[in-house]
Amino acid sequence: MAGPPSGDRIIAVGTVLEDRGAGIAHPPFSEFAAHLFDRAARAPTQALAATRLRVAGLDLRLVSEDRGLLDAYAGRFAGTAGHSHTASSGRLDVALHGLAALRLPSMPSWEPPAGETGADARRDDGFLSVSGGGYDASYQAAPPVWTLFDRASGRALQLAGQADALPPWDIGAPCRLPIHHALRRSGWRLAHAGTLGRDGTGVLIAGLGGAGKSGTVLAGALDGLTTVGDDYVALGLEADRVVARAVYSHVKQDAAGIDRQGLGDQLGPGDRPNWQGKYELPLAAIAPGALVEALSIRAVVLPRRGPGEGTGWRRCGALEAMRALGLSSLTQLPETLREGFADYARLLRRLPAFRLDLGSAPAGVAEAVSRLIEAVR
Amino acid sequence: MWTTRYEIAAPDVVAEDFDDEIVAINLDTGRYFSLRGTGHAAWSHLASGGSLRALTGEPEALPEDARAAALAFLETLIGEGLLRERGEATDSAVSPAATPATSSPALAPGALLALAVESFDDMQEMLLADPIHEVEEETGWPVRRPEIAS
Repeated sequence: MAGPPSGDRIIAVGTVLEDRGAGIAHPPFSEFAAHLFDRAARAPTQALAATRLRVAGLDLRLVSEDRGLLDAYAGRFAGTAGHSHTASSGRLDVALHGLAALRLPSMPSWEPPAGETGADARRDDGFLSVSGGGYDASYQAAPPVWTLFDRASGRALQLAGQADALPPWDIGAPCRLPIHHALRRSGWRLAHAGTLGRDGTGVLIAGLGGAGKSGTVLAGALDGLTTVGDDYVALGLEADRVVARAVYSHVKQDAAGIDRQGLGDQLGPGDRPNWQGKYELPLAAIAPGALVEALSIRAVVLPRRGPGEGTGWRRCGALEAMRALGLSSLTQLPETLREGFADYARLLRRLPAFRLDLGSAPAGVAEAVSRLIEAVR
Repeated sequence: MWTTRYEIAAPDVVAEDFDDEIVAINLDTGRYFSLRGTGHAAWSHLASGGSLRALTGEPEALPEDARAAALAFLETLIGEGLLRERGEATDSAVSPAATPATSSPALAPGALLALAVESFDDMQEMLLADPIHEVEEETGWPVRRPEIAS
């Protein structure tokens, strides 16, 4: 079970520890986080570049010494630097730095005090999350990356060995954790779900990995339906109605799905599958006009691969919807289960749930979802 | 057991009512549950402090299979850690329909046979790997060494 390397412990807060004397065995997490934010604020501005976007209602500003990383991130957001129909719901400033920009010799580490938490409180993949003291933070060990969010100011810091020394899945959903925390400040959240819609009204496509979310979204988008995303969307209430907003611009699909959807000619010689063996394709290129800013959500659809060629749907219970949307999202994003469970219940009480048995013909999938959207409109 | 009052075993257990279905999760075990139909009605009654006797009527008057079904249902809820005892009812001499905190009518013996709790453990590993360390909100997480702790 990996975690912050013990040899590097408290490098970033050494001064703080000296000032406080021997009475403190561990620094408060708030001091550790504040120290890193302070170092980020003192990064030499002449070496930094910035990008501004409106993403899911958030005024997002990215700052980094790595221009290439900024460009790569900007290309993955569904947001625009120009006009947006979505009112601003807050500001999120994310500083994307490597150790050198903060003049740190190695990755700083913070450990929960011994006895306060057991080893089972840490994820098997070396992922540690801390919430409190005004901060939400996550650390992952390989490669080492801190992501810290300051609730009061709406600022976030992503600190890696080098700004772009990030895990292979990062580019699939950049700034995922800061966006989730920033959305929660205004009662919204990042949800692990896809969407399909028509004329502003739509459905959530929810399920655990491999359920067929992306394939369903792609089939619909290629057949004239709209979407605000296939994997992560911003989810919240507006005037007591559930609304989903677009965060990211790409859809993921494995080689079999690419072939099934007839998208082979969209792949260039330089396109390579990602860490999951899936290709990440910009919706604007493969389904122009399909990606919209927001959808009014009227139902939750839970796809699963059916035995036949045809696609059909039927009503299902709240537990299935909670499992596919709520529990799935809560295990993907750092959030306390107790609060998250209640919040998802609040959303799901407003939405009927349907099981979608996927057939092998993509056109049949799109047609079935289209009929369902009309039925719940 | 028939006159004991129960409550939801918070904070480890959270339960949400979706009109026709109760969805509950035990955060301590990572198991989650569904109760529908008479199970929904019975949960609502028991979780709000109603006794089993108020739900079923006098146990001595019940057919053996109905009495066994009611007891098995309650034992499942307790065994899964969803409900815990709140204390003995003080109105043991009062008729079931008049028992306080009971909005549901007593269930017919036939309905007791349909009492069921669906349980699931397929997400247990992920749910128990709670990635959040909640630290003290005001101060962060300072831990004073034992020799200077007051």
